[in-house]
Amino acid sequence: MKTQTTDSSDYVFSLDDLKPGEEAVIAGYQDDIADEMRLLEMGLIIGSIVRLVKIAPFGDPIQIRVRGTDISLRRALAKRILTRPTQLNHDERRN
Amino acid sequence: MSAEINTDSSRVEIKQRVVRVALAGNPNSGKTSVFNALTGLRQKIANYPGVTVERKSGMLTGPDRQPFEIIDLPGIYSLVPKSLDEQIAVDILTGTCPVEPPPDLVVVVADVTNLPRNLYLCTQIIDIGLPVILALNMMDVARKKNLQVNVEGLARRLNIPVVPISAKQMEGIDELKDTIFLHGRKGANGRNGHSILKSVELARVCEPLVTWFQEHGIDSPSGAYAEALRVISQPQALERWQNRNGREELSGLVQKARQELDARGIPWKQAEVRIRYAAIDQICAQNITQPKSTGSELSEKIDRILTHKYFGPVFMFLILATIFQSIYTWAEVPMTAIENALGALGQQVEQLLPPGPLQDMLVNGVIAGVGAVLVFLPQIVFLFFFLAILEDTGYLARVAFIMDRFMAKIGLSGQSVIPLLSSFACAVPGIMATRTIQNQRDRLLTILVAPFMSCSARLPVYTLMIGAFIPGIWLGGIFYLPGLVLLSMYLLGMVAAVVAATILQKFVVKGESTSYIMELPAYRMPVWRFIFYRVYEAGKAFVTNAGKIIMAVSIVLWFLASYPKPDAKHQQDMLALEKSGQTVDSFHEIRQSYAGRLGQLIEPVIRPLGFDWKIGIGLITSFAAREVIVSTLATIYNLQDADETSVDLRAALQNDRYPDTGKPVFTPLVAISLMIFFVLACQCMSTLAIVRRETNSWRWPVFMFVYMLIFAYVASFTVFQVGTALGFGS
Ligand SMILES: Nc1nc2c(ncn2[C@@H]2O[C@H](COP(=O)(O)OP(=O)(O)OP(=O)(O)O)[C@@H](O)[C@H]2O)c(=O)[nH]1
Ligand SMILES: [Mg+2]
Repeated sequence: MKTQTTDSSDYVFSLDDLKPGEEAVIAGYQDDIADEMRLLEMGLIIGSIVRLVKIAPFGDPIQIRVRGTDISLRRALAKRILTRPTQLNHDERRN
Repeated sequence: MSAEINTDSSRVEIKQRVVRVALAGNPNSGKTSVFNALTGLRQKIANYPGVTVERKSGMLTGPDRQPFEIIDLPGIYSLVPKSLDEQIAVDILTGTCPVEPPPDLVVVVADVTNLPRNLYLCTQIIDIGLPVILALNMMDVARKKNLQVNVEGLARRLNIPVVPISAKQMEGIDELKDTIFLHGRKGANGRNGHSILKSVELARVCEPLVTWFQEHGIDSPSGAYAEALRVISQPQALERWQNRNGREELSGLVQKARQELDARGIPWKQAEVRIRYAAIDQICAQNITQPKSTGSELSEKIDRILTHKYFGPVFMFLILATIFQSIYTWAEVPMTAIENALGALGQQVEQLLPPGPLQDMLVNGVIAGVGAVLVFLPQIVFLFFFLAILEDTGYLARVAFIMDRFMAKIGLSGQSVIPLLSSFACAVPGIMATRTIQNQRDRLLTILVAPFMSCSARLPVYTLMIGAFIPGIWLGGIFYLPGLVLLSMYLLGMVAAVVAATILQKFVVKGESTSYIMELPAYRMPVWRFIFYRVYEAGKAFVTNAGKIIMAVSIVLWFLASYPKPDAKHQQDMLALEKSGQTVDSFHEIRQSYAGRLGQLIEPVIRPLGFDWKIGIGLITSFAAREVIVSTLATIYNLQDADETSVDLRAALQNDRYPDTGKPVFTPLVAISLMIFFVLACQCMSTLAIVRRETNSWRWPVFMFVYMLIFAYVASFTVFQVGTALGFGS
């Protein structure tokens, strides 16, 4: 359950931009999400690693894994959760 | 402990105070499993979050016959509730419940494979100052995953007893009991637990709030600090103080604290989560050794098929189709056995008792009526068996995952899927399950469409009609037509729910569905013991119900359909008719009974749907419970054919003719029209009563009854009229 942070936060994208199997680090929430508190309590805090496990058959919702738990949420919500690359794939993305 | 000497019995008894022990924890962590293990009761357990939605309690006797009340609560993620079921749990734990003081002891049931999030709640409960025991559940899973926990380290760090258990394998339950006995009797002295909150920076910001809370009833410093963080972070937490004195002052302090945090670049919403999780991550790092992840887990592999882009929906359909087909085909043999046994019973009674009203009532009223429903026991058993398996494996949550896209379109959320699927068993628990839906609008909409899901009480009606009028042929050698028709009745209910939801969200319950956040539990092997209990309880309830409600209705109906006996003039008229060579309606006696008159009164209204007055009587009586229409028809046909011991209801339906035209009363089209009516109409007192309770007004149950009745009438009318016009009427 280690959290990893990147010092260069130049590259921020939304959780929804991830592809199945990719990981990222939570960077924050876009203004006022009604469900922000619930997500925070479930462990999606700044610095936690999330993995997009899969997209549901009809394209929405998505399944993510945080701290060993699988959570499903809608893409509209995922769009407002900001993430940045983990150290590892950070470099890949830049290339 | 207060002991009271009770001397009114010959023996001197010590009446001991009951120690109240609450089970709290994250949803799906196994609280109810632990509850059942401790109390020997059989509350519902299933593998998805949100199974328990109300407070349940049971007793456990400790040493010296000290009574302990064990209280099972709905699952929560934190002490700030987001939905009604969570509210119930939080109110009891924090002492804000008007009818119940906080418990003497809290057992936090944590899923050990998911410890950080479980500790988040556990440490919050420690902070409010309640004595806590931590039960690390699912140790069997941890062992398989090779996950190691330093139990002593954890206990030392949090300063609470930690008991590793497995509720499924019944491991560690005795140790847990002993720990409860030991700590539960300490009362207020049992306060334990170290707060893990330490953040110098935040402590300074919170100081004015901490002082305020200490002046307003929270004595422990850590409790006041935790509450301060909570009201800063969560508007909902602040709202909980809304009715107390000095809330203006509180709001002012909170505002100031938030501004200070903002100035330091700390998002105030994350104030509590940040420091709590920081501490928890550290504790976990020190006390848990997790093996390097060995590829993807089993659940993920299973999901590769079951939630696959194309195979997922296909499998979902196949699974449902197989279930309905099996309900139909597997039940046939045991059904015939029950039918034969009841027939023999009727004959026995007929031989033992002299002919007369008593014999008539027992044979044609009770045995015919109750028996007609009882033969469907095998179907009910299979239905609950399959539902229990779907629920206990974790597949139900996947159905919600797949269906959410679709639910969003009709203004519902994936969270509504589970209450809707539960309604296949019965709408009452289905409607109660809507308590887990956070958004009140979504919840109401779900309640309003839930009764469209075909509940088990409709199963006897469908089976009777299908058995009598749908030929048992195999289509393409794979699909059994009766099974397919049964499936389409269930599908029709779902389609009706979709249509109704779409209309209702435009005109009645406006707005859009917003939230859907749901945990997807890992797949688990069903626990056969629990499945057996579930099926057994459902079967028992069905039989008891047949013994009570259906028996009562059958007796009343027997009376209403037997009296008044035709007078002399009526008899003469009939005799004259017969002599003149005209056909006599074999139902002429029942026709002029009280029930017959009632049926004929509504006949003009239901005739366009293809129903005669006998079905009319059934429609009225089925309001007590849907399956009563089956017992009603059985009683009527038995009374008509009084010479025969027990009438085969299917054959009687097939042979019934209108006296004037000689055409059959029941045709496949009538059977389908009747089934459609039963899919759509809300003929169920218990459903209306529960809607009244859950929405706190008569408005919604009345609305629901009326709109569903209109739906049912229009659909049956259209099907019957169009069908007749197309020539399917015979
Ligand atoms: N492997 C394993 N499974 C368990 C254990 N305890 C409970 N379960 C399973 O976990 C699932 C959830 O159990 P419940 O007892 O319903 O959980 P709950 O905490 O009451 O859930 P909610 O009422 O929804 O909050 C069920 O499928 C149980 O069979 C355990 O010790 N080991
Ligand atoms: Mg439970």
